[in-house]
Amino acid sequence: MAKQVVIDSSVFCKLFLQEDDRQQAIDLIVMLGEKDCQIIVPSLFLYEVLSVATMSSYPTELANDLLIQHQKINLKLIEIDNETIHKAIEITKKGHQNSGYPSFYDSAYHALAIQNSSQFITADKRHKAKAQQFGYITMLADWETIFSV
Amino acid sequence: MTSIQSNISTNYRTTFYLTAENKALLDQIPRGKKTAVVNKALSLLLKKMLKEKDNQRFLEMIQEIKPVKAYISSEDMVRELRNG
Repeated sequence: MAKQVVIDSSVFCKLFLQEDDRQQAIDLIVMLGEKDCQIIVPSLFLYEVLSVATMSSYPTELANDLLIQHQKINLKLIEIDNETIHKAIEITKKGHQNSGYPSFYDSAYHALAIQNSSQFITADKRHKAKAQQFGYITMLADWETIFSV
Repeated sequence: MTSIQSNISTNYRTTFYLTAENKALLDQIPRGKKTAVVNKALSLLLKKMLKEKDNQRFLEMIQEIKPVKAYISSEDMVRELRNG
């Protein structure tokens, strides 16, 4: 069973955005807390979540309060190390002519999961299409599978 | 009744009542190790209680959220940010 996962900032943002898969994001985050599974994310996660709150007109103070409370439980912001940066660079170089090349930002999340032998949970199909050859990636819709391994 | 007295800078002497069951269990611990065992047990339990309280508050905060509808999906908003 997973003891550590990486989630994309867009997954967390679904907590305060009215989207079709919002309940999946809630279920995932609640279950990770119940299972005492740590969520690790690159420190840029904080800026992305607060920026999306601003862009979507959700009160940024409330988004920040939510982040602070989540960090008291199982959310850990991490400054990625050199090995993770190298892995992220490697991912950015392995795109496909049709699907394109992964961004460094997406790759940093993905590399953090790979370096920690965990799963990167995202709702972004495009990054998965570009970088699924590296493994360690799970779509939000399939989040329950991380507890069945 | 509990009284707490500072011993040295990082340790405190305290008095509190044990249940008969806990007294019997603690009596099985060798002398010189009881303080460490009680401290470890207290630390584990108190941290667990605080975490449960924090988790409960987090769940309440999620329930209190009034989600907003954005003009694009969260994935696309994050992509906009990442693409500058």
